[in-house]
Amino acid sequence: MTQSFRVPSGGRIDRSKPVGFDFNGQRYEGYCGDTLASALLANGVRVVARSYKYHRPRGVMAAGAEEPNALVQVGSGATTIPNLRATQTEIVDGMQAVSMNCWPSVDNDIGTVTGAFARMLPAGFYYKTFMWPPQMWMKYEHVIRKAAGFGTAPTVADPDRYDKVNAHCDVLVVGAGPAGLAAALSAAASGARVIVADEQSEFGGSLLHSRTPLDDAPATEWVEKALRALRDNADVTLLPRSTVYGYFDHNFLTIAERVTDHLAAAAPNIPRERLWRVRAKRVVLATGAIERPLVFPNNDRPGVMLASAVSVYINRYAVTPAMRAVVFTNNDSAYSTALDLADAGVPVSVVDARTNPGGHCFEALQQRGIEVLPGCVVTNVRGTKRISVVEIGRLNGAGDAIAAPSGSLGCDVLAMSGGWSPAVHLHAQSGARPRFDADAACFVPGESVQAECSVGAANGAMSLTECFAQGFAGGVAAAKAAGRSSAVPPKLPKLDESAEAAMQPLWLVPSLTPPGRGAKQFVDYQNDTTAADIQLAAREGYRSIEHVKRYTALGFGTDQGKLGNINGMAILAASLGNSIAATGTTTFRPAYTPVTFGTIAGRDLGAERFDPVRKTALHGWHVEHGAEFENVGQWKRPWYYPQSGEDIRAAVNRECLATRNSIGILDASTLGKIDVYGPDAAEFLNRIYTNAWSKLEVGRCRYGLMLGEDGMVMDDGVSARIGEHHYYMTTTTGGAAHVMGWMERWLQTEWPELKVYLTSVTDQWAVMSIAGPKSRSLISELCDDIDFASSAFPFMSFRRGTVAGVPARVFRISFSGELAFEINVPANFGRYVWDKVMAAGQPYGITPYGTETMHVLRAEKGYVIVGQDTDGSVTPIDLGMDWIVSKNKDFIGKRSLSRSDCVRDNRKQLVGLLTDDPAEVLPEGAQLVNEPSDQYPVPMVGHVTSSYYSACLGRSIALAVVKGGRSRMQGKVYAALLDGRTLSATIAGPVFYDAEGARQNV
Amino acid sequence: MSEMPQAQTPLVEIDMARDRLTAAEQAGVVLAERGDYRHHNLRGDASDAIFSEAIKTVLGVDLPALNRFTSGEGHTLLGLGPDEWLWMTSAENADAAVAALDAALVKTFATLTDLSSAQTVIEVQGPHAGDVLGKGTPFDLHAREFPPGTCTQSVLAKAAVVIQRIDAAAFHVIVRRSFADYLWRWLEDAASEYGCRIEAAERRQNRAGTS
Amino acid sequence: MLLIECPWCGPRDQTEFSYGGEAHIVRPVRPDTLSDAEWADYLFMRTNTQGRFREQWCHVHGCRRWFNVERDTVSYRIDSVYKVGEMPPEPKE
Repeated sequence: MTQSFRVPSGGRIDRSKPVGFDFNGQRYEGYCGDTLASALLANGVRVVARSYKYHRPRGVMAAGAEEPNALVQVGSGATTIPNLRATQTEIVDGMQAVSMNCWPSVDNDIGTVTGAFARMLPAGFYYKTFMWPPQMWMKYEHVIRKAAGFGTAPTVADPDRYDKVNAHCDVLVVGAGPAGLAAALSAAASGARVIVADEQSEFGGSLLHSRTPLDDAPATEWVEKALRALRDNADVTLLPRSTVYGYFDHNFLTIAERVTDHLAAAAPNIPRERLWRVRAKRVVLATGAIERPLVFPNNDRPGVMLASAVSVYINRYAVTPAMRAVVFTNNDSAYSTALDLADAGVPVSVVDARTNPGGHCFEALQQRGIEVLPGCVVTNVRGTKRISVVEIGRLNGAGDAIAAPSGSLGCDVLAMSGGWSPAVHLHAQSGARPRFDADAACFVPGESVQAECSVGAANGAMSLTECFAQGFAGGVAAAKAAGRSSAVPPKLPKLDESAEAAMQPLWLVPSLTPPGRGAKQFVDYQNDTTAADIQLAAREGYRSIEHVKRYTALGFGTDQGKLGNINGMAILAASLGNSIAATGTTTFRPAYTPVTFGTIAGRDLGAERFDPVRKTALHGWHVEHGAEFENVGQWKRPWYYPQSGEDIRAAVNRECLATRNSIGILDASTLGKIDVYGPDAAEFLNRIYTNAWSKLEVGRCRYGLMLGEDGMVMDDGVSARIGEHHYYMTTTTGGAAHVMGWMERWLQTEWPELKVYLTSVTDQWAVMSIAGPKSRSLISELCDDIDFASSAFPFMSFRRGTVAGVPARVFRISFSGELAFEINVPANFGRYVWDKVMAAGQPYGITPYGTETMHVLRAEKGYVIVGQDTDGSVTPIDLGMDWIVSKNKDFIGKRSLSRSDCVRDNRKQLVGLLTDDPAEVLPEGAQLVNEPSDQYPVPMVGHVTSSYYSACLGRSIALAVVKGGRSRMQGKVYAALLDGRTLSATIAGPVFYDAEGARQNV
Repeated sequence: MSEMPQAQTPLVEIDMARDRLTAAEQAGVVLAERGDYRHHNLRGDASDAIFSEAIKTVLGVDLPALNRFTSGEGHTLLGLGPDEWLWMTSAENADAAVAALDAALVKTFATLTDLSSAQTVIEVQGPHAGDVLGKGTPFDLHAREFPPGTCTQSVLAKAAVVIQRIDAAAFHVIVRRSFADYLWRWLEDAASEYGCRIEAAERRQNRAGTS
Repeated sequence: MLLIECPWCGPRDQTEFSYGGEAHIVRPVRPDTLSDAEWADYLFMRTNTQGRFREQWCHVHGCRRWFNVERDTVSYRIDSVYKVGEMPPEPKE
């Protein structure tokens, strides 16, 4: 069977480019320009999927984004995508697609057994049946999920490239049908920057299958002319295959562009999909309308299709899906489908629910001799995998019941139309509320909340003339509102169109048997929600459409009820005796159609791009010398430098001992550094830090602690007075940006009278800290313009000088308790100076150390690390740092220190812990209790904040916060380990090494 | 010490000698590091005559308005904030200018901070330069909104940057040293679809300045 | 993603800003004279307004200025932006 349903000529496919593809393992051929759906129909494939709940065979029903049935998985392995609509998937050579929801095959689905017991699966069946006993749910769920499921997620990383772009425009036009193209032309002619996005492969929308000539030529010629004009405008961006899937705040919209999936081979580095993040001054929504299905028994059988889709397949894809067709409608638009079928040589009859159809369209059918059965409806459809017969009934006078059966008609396609629903999805996502138009029997856009307007069919316009007129006007108005209005807008195409006769709403087709008794009347095809389910929900007391949605799964599928929702709402309204307007709609949410994870992730993947990797000027040296790195915020810091065969403990022990015995060197460049300048700088620091700064002499340094206004320790660091009005502040590595912004905020919002300028200089300086008893000797070799004698350059002071020929700021400060100097040089010279220091240090056995050794050395001295030993609930008093808290001035957070909660005597206080077994190292974070006990819960009295093995002391040490800890010296606490053991430890002071501070004051 | 200290720009790890394109291919984007500028942050009150006169006298350039830049005699001033400017210079007499400015600014509440090692300039040029930057910044780079002579601070990828519009198809991206390596790699990746060429600009000696 | 008009730089994407919470909360001049309850009122209590709300934002990836925004916390509509030290313009209504 080779494309036997293909019309020999016409359509927008390229017959010179055959395309071979596989569907469910079978080889087929179509043409370039085909969707998977049109190619399958051309090949006579009718069953393309199974339904979600009952596993009924399903065929292609629609021709666009609204398709509920023909969901396929395309590709295999890493690049496979589940959940694609065959109606939107272009075929490419070698494509492999498979049906979803069926096993082992679409034609022989084991799951269909549920269909035989279908009556046992009403709305809420899963909730009602599988909830009890509760412990069994996990088992049930496993089975249910296997039976359900939309496709298979790939199990390996996607090798394809996805990308994101930010875009700005005056006017974003969504949809490139007649209204959208008209809007784009007029906006562009006004000088606006325009983006036009359309989800289809080709621009033109309904014009691509329209029977109406424009300017006395086929509509497609007008489309081509319009596109030429748009392409020639540098300020117009045309995005085909691009779904505007989200409308967010302040006219921010997202577009998923499918860039390469329609190409058999793409150029390297071209992304497969691109996420456009668009900020539009104005948005014109020309999203068209979606045809409504009719709800009647067995309305899901393969061959039951939307009337407009049948026209699309005939006119655009040159496929006649039928040998013999019946059109079932309540409005005039499907009459043109009957003409399309007749033109294609397909015998066709029309069943019209309206008693007195008439007017221009009706007459056109009469002229062609096409039979129309007025006042009749389809009461049933026969045929399982392909329809064969439709049964007809005549309506009673009121139109609410079948007066009498009226025979049957043989056919293999039933083209149905229940009227049109404007695609108000994006309008609703923008925050607006669609309004029910009772005359047109559809929801139309309501009052705009954001800077958007809807035009054309999306705005309820049902004639081509109106669509063009609204589009042109909308484009001009949008451009003008965006500040562009210059040229004369292009003129409307000339067309001849007659008015349509009125439609007659038909939400639930009357049937011979009540819903729930006879064959199923599907409302939501994708979720197998029937009219009976909705009526049952109403009988069981559901009133809100949102609750009914969740109970019946109406609109819960990946199609979000594009076809079924409106019928379901109307059926609920009727069941409740409400109006449709009062029943309302469910919430429209992004995404309009599913978006791949790849598109959302873009290139923000992997070690290089997921998060910035910040490197110091000395990074290369660390890499060359085998450092293991640790992430500190976004920085890469050397953690330790293992030599051959060393584990972390051996390396850290070696680094610690080398520093204590001779010289260690640390890259401290990541510390936050802020230049604080101005006549009020000292006053400013007085307010920011807990201690006093006014009397600090130029050339001296001081340690400072910053609190939040809540009194809790926020950051700390050493700051130096480098000039009369000039301070050089350091912060923690992780706190740098926060402290800068926080201080700037105080200056700008509370203390604008203070004359202080802050400048971040974190990146300006490479900082190397040399620590150890030999450090003075070493630095003296590299610097001859600073007197390093202790009397000339005392502890906690600062000097300018030249180190290794480079201008430097040298600080005599220590975070290790050793004699230490911090050399700050402009970072461009950091590597040069570091190399010189290392070379000069060789005779001393200079040893680079990383953050782990830094932590051990400072913990031996009882120095806290903000963010490790504090957690936002620790005051300086808790840390035993009363000495740094001024009594004589106000500072940020001071008042909070006297709040009743901050003066409790059982607050957690910083203490040292010595394990009773010196070889055991407590785990950091371990909770502490006073007594080991089997009685749970055991009252917890604190936790371990820092814990290391100290090579220098030959035993483990730890810092912890313990309730009332400072008054419990020599007391015992216990920590339970994950392996079941309990370690005992003795409370001690937090300073384990050189308590008198002799080593740094030499 | 008689040896001349060697400087390294923040992009030391990037192999600038690579030429990724064969001669036949058209480069949509050309990336180059412009490491030859000295950078200083300048704070002061534009309405303060001492301040603005000092700038004008020493640099020969007027203080630009916010988000604009002015250039002349090897000096460029970028308006970063209501009281903040970036002064970039490749002038031979930069040391003298720094000294002169420092001397002039003590007379009022203003300050000059050396950031020559704190940041670098990445030049992004070519027909797709704007497309590449547009992938990473939410700022509107359209020439109508962002013509030559304007600059802005914004976000590019996940780094904070200053973007300077040089001409229709050329931008300078000023980025902090520690983010430069990340941002360069990001730019190369983003530019790859357009064809990316790396221009191995001569890296001039960046003098050490003062401490 | 909001579009926020920086009073200095004009409309910019939310990405360039950081949020600072409720505006017009003035730090007490003499915290030491306040009771715990008064201090707590300054420190912790916020109006949590549903509707038009005055809040602080900082153009942190731009000109680094803090400023005030009057924004509806339900619709996210921004009614006005104004500099620190200023009061919001009268509602237009």
